[in-house]
Amino acid sequence: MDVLSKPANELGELILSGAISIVDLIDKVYERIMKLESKVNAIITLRSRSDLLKEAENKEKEIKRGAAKGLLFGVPVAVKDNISTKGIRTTCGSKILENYVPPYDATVVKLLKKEGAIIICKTNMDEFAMGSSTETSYFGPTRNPWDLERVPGGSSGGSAAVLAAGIVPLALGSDTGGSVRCPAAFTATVGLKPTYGLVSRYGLIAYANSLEQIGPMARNVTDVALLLNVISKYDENDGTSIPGSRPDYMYSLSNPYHIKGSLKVGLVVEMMGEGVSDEVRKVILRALDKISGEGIEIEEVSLSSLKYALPAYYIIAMSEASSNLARYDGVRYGFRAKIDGDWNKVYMETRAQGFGLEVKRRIIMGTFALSAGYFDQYYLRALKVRTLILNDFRRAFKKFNVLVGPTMPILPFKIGEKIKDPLAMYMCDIETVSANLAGIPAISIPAGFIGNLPVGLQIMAPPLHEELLLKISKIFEDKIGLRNLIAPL
Amino acid sequence: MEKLLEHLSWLARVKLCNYERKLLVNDIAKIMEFFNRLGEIDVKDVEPTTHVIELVSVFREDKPGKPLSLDKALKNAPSKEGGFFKAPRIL
Repeated sequence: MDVLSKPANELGELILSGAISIVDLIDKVYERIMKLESKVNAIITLRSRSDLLKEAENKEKEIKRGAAKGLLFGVPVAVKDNISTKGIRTTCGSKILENYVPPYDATVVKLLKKEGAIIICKTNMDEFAMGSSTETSYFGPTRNPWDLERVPGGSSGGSAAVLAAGIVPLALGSDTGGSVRCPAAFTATVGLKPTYGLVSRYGLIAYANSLEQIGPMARNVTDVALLLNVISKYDENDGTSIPGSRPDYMYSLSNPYHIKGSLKVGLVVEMMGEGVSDEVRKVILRALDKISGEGIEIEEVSLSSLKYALPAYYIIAMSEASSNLARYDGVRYGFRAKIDGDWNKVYMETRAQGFGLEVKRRIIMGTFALSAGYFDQYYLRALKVRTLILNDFRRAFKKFNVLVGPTMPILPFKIGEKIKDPLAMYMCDIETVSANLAGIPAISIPAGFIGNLPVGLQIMAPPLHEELLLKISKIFEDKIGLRNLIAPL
Repeated sequence: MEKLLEHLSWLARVKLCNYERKLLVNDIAKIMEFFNRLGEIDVKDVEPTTHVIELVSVFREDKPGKPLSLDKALKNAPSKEGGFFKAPRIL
């Protein structure tokens, strides 16, 4: 257990110095999965033990030859199942891709391999990342390691659960409206949604392109910075990738921050209002109390357009989804219904059998928002509200270095509690969607607990200010004093 | 509402069973109400945002890359014949 609880930034060094054997490490990871997976259901596809051990042995040989290099050499990593992995089944949590084996690696997976990481498994998720609880997965819900009766959040619930269960130290998630930050908050882990365009989306199975980013997840801020160093790179295969080099986020963590005067933190009043439970509010205020002082000023700030962020987000996300998911026609890949008939009949039946209810609901609503007669009223209007939200953030960042609020308005809820009420589930995203609409970086770090149930603090920064965001997160993490947490299982 | 749902189900090419239709008719009404909240906010003279990061169109050099082999491209196809995807008939 000891080696499994090590942070990735220490593990990498211990491996390269020969203090830890990669074969032993991978063996322990595998044993832990065998022990816990039946309880947690965090994994959709686990690579075979023999494959993993063979890779570990080859890596040990490289160390002996003196040829080992890479930021994550021998470090076990989990990858969300909507990120393409060459030769490893990638289902997106859906029946329609149940047997899909990608012929290529997503850019982020290529970068992981280049730095020597060992991909252990593909993690469970809401079907097509549509959900906030990992309950819409075709492969059954993931359970929260802190309380097995409760959800781990979503949609990257499997990635968060393998971290909180002490299986691997690093995982990749994707965040369209909070899907990295929500499960991080619900499992007392750390998850970052980078600035739109910082990390390549090539090989990420699309849900809503204009909103989503792949994000690093870990049990502490330093490991998140380490994983961001690996995956953040310009990619000519992604038309929205931001050109140019990226800073060394680990290096920036080790330096004191240079900010004129004191650090100004804005507590967003709209994020502490209606819909936020008293318990969450209490934990956030207590955490902010620990943070303030010593050159950190916290002041309330209002971003009035955020009241409209949730409906604007859902209109845009569902519209993009209805267009993106048109590709699942049962012809080039994926499931096809076994019936005879013409194109329309087979296409409709394939999608009837291949998609779950939430995916159908979002395709239908997106089709509605884009359809003739409604386009101006819904989709176009949502894009205009998006502009107002962007402007509000720009204004706020003139005065504040970062903005804060809760990541989730409520505590992790019971499995089955919200799944039958779509609007109640959508309300869970009320704190997170605005960062996606504005394209800004946002992170969730542990703020505290109510009993054994975690609460996450969300910190948001201006676009491309990940260095500042991570540095501040590290300071907050030190002051709050919660890191490297593993649920007692 | 039933008629609208039927129309949307056809446009989206997603067949719905009776149970799903019953649920979704109810959901659509509620979600529309939720969407309608945007009617409260004044968006006069506001430009829509489709992309948050201002980027110019990126072009790469017109050099052929390495395409997937025929075998690999067809590997995931549920139905194929003679090196082609086999699709249902159009008419």
